Amino acid sequence: MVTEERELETVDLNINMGPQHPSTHGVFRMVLTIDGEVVTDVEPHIGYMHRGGEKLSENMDFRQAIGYQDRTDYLAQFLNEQAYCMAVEKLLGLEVPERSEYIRIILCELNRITSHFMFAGAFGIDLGFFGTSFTYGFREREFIQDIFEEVSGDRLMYGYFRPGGVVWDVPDNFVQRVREVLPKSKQGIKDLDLLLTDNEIFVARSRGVGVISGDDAIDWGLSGPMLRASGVAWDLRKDRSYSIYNRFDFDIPVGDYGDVYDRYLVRMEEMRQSIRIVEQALEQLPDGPILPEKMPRKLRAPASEVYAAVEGARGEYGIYVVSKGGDKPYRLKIRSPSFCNLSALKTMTVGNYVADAVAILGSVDIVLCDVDR
Amino acid sequence: MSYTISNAWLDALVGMIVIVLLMTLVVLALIYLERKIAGRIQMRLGPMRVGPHGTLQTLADAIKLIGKEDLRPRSADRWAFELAVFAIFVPAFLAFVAIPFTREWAVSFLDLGLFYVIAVTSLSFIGFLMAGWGSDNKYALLGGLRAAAQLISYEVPMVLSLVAVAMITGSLNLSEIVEFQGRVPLFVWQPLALFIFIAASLAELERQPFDIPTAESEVVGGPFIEYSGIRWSMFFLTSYANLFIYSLLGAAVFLGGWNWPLGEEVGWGLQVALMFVKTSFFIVFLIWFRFAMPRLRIDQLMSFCWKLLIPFAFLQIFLNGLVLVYEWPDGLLFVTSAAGLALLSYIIYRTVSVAPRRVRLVPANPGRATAPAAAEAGG
Amino acid sequence: MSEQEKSPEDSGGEAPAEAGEQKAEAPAEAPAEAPAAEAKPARAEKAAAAPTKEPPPPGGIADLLKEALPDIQMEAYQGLSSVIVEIARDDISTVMRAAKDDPRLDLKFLRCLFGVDHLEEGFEVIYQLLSLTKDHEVTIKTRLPQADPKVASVTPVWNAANWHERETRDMFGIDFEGHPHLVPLLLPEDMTDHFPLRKDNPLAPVEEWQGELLGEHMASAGHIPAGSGFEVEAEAGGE
Repeated sequence: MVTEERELETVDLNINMGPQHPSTHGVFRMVLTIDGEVVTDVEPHIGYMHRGGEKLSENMDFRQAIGYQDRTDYLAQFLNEQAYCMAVEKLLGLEVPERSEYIRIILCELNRITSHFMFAGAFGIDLGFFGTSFTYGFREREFIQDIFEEVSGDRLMYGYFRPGGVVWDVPDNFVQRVREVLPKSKQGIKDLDLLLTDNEIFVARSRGVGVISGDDAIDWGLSGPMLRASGVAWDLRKDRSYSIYNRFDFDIPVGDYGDVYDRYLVRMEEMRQSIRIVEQALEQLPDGPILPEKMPRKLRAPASEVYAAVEGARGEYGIYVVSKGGDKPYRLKIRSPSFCNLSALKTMTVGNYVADAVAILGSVDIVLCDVDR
Repeated sequence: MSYTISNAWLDALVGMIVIVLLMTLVVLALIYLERKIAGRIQMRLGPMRVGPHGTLQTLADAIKLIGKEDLRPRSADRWAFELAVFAIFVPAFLAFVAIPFTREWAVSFLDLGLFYVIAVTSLSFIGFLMAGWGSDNKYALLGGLRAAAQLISYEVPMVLSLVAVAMITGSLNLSEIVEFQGRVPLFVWQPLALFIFIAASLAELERQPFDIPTAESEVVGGPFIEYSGIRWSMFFLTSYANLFIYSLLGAAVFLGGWNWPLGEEVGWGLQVALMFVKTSFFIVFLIWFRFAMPRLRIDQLMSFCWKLLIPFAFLQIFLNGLVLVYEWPDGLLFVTSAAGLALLSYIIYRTVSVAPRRVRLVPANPGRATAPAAAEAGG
Repeated sequence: MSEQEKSPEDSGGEAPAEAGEQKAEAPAEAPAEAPAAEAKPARAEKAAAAPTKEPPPPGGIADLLKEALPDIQMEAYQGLSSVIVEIARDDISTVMRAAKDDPRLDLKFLRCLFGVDHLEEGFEVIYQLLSLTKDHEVTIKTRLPQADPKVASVTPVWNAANWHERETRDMFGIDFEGHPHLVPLLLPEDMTDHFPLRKDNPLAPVEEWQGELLGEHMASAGHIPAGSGFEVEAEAGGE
């Protein structure tokens, strides 16, 4: 008797890493199709945090609209405000005084450091640390956030920059406070380094995972640490130098392999470089006014268009303003880095394990309010 | 008990009550200990408010959990869902029967003590499968299957390492194993077996780095995702009861229990103290691991077990066999085992350690003038 | 000129960080309003007149584009932040393909893709392209008629366009032909017929809307402090 060979019919499992999940870094839904433990398809569903920021900004005048910029990428707020202020300043032909430029740079780079501390903390949790890396990262963040609170009065939504400069001058002890905090940040980076970077299990979980090549990264519009980890040495502070970045001596970390581990290393190194920039800026900080002398009361723009981009903590954060005269933007488009970085999720994740899907999502370092605006 | 109560049924009843009380209190203490140690490792204090220094925190949590609604998904397989709790919980209690706390105190001095403990603790994996399947939830299923795969796999090196020990002592009776270690504890004779035992216990307990079944950040609780209230707290408690059991086992088998180093003629107070210290050593060690390491992926976990631990466990048995059969001096037990451990360490080292990778640095402003542009600042 | 009447009340409904500054400005603004009111019509006229378009710098990206695509009609001028090139919508596929593949252009990085609603003048789709190797960038624009907002998709050229086009379709209703999966991205899956960013979905001036609703709600709860400006007459029906 010949027994028939029958193929076992299997169906790939559809797993919903739903909007509520400890690892999706916000309200984000990922539908994974898995075959055993290997991911065969990823479909991201975003839009849970869409609050219509671009439409709302059309109704606010140029000074009011800055309030919304804090609320897109809420971990790197000063960098968003910087982009917006640069766009409006270019549109209106405002010139920012030197003191404000330095203050902005110091605050932006400190904000980059806090954002990357948050990344390192959350990334450790994604890989299984159960809280240790998180508390390490957040303690360092708190020291810097105290400075932000002293400067702007707010812990999270600063609203401190204005087109033309900043809204009020920094407190008198600002330089001394920042100088106090920098050694703590250096120590914090070292602690996180010791905990994560050479930990064998961490390395085994992140090397070779989620690789994307440099050409693919460019094709998918990635920017920021994701692009630099894939070997493309493109940083807006270097290649489209804005504000006064051309006065400082700092380096851009560039990875070679484009995997999750490289992205982590690039961000850790960026923190160190940001500390360098802050130290140099503190020494050069001049006295002077913080807003231009001929600051118009009502900001009326000519009928024109402008695009300004900064190197945000997550990538290129750009603002495109279309103005038809008047004091409100006709169209305000926010080019958010997390949106563009997240679109490449499927290419990076397919073929890896479910556990790696979480690690890859963590390494993209998205902020959902930035993805959805 | 060595002083037997005349009625065997009464004897058994007293034993059960003692075990239940002991288990509950120890588990409450262990949960508190874990939270405090976790807090210290994570640069925070841990529970501080409920009771002096948070000592009553676990009790408060237990009361809260008991008061929670006992949910069951409508489409859940009722019997699998509800009985899974018992399938996991009961073996933990059963294992206490054979573990000797001092020379005179044990519920039962089984001749097959070691075999009994292993057999009974390995029954719990069926509970994971029942919970995973019965919850009618894909995460639970994924977690349950991962748990089953992990638990079954890591039983093998656990058993083999204990078999190696039993070969030397010539007995499976836990009391006799402890008696054997009068002068020299077994971790000196069998360091490789100790290493394998610790690794396998971490996996059996599903703690980091082997906690993929209940990975908090992936499948959020794995097989226990649909449980709440008292049922979930039973799982949680069992995990700590198992921690206690494996630590007791390790203390008795490898660290010399109540015997080494003070020997035969000490009173029960010191014996209890010795057991306490040795068990605490294991407990703190295992808790420490949990908060200092990330988790391994399932394929890495499996290859660690099947490609490394099991061959080396077999190697340990083989080496023991050589020494015992050819009646070589006892010191060779230590030498061979230490050599095996060194080889295992070397292989692990070569596998995981790769050249440290650093990113390259590209200067942002290479042609920058050295004098900063502060001169332009003016005022 | 409802904006100017509202400006003293600006301080009412803003983020706290603005309040201090605006409050200081508001009294100063009142006397300045009178001359500003006269100046505004004049300025508005000037703004409405088409701004003079500067020609792009010679030898730059505009010339490279003309070299690579001699047959395509394009109008290039220098914008505030980059050279802007306007092309007809039927030429999009050819131009974009050439922009990416032509070695002189090498515009492999699609920075941004979005739409603008110009009401009767139609829709505009703006593409921001960048070349990392050649270090040049260009903004390409194309007009779509208001009645027929369709344009070829550039997803086959750059993968980055995938999500940008989905979002533009959600917000403006512009149909991208050739897009592999044009379903709502930011809006709910079933919201395929309502396009929020079009100008015919106006947002009421924020203060007006908030003030009235706030007044109604707070009046019924009995919480409005006198003199706050939010009092609502008892019988005034809301709009």
